[in-house]
Amino acid sequence: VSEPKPAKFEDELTRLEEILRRLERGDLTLDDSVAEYERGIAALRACRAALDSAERKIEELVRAQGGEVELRPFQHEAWKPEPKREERR
Amino acid sequence: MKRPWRDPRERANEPPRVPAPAGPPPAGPPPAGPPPAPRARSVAEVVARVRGLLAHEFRDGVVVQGEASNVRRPRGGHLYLTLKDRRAQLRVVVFERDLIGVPAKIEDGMQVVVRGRLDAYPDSGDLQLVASWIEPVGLGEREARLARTRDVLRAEGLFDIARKRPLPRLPRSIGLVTSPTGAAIRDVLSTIDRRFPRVRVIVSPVRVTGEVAAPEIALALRVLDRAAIADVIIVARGGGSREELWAFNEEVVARAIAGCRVPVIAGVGHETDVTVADLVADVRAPTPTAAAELAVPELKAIEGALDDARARLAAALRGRVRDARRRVDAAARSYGFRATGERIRERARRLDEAERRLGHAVEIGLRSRAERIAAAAGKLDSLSPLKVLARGYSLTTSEGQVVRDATELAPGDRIETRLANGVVTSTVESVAADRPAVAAGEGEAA
Repeated sequence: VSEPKPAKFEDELTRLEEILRRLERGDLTLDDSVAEYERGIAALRACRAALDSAERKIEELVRAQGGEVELRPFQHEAWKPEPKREERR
Repeated sequence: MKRPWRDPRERANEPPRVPAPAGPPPAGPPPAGPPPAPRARSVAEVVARVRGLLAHEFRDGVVVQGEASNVRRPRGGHLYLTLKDRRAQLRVVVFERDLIGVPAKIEDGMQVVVRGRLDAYPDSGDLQLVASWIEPVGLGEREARLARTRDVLRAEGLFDIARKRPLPRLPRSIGLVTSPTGAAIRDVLSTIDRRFPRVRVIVSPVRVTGEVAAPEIALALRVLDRAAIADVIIVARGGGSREELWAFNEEVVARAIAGCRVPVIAGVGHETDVTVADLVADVRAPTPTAAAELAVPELKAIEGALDDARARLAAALRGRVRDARRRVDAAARSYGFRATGERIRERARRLDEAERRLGHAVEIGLRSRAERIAAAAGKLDSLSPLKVLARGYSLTTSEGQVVRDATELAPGDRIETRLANGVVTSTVESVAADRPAVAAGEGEAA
């Protein structure tokens, strides 16, 4: 099962910051303010989704024969096992 | 022909010459037997004489090449070593003051070139080379090549600030080109682990010292970039001598860094080491640890920033709603409610809508962080009037119009009250208006 790639955190965070700038200027109509607010919440949600869906993994890049690139699991003592994630509803 | 050199000081110490005894010259072959024993000289005299001869013979100094061995520097002062080749050895001392400009740490086994003067050390009588300069073989040539590389790359604009790309604020995947063993990889991984434990790291192991290092690093960078699996690449190496960091001065590495499509962070050596790789990289970190710190934000900081953004969104909207309310209130007072009832009602409806949504956001603000995130993720976009009603609010209508002002009603009017799960129809018994305001809910929004 391939999950859809989460929207890039970068783009969503930039969007969120632009929305905040517009909203905090206070010169939008009430309707536009509400709409911006909702867009802001959506961007915020996308940011959180990108954070939550980020994977924790360490791999080694190896070049197989024929110039193909392979990824293999990599171990290092400085990279501890994945901490338990906070349970989220 | 060169006159044999004599130190005038020596001559002063010599006993006066005694003229040969007068008489007829000896006839025939000289008498057999040992020649007369030469006059015995003092040790100091001989050593002094040797020193004088050395000073004269090598008055322009000597330049000697050989392998450094038995290198030692007691208490960080003068540097002592033995210079050797297959057939001979020569003791060398470099005084502390002359070590200041020496471009590399001298280590056993290194081929070095030494410049200095020859002397016999009076206390031991040993021959020694008092060096005023020492450097690894080929260093001069290499430094010259480095200067050329820098010039070429600078001329091509590879060091330009304008070329530097910004780092992603939250990379999903980090490429790491470094030695798979040693301090650098440990520092980078533990720093990432501590700051931002939700990222993918792809290590491309390379050797970072010796002739093989530069081509390996360059290839690793190209392969990693071409695979398009990293949002940012760190190229790192722990501290070492200038010699040990040399691969990062090679043009092939610089060009590989410049050719990467994603930003590259260089974290090579210590703070004071600036290599060509550092100059070409999008960001130069003073150490591998600093490179990792630049590559990933702190998860806590990011979460804090998002919480902050949410609070600012709500505050901005709340401010806007308050502002609207003030204006609507003012309008209601100035123009007379009846005259502009429809406009007021329309405005008030929009205001209510905003407040309802805002109320939800404010309520969310009171919950724990985890719940807030869940709410932001799952509920905020599915606001519906029914959900607001479910929290105990109700909606009152009269003749199909939403009732926002008690003064709109009179005893005997039929009103319908919409609750979450149904409608209640009632008849108004009495009306007691506080003021000709617009709608309830101010307390909630404030």
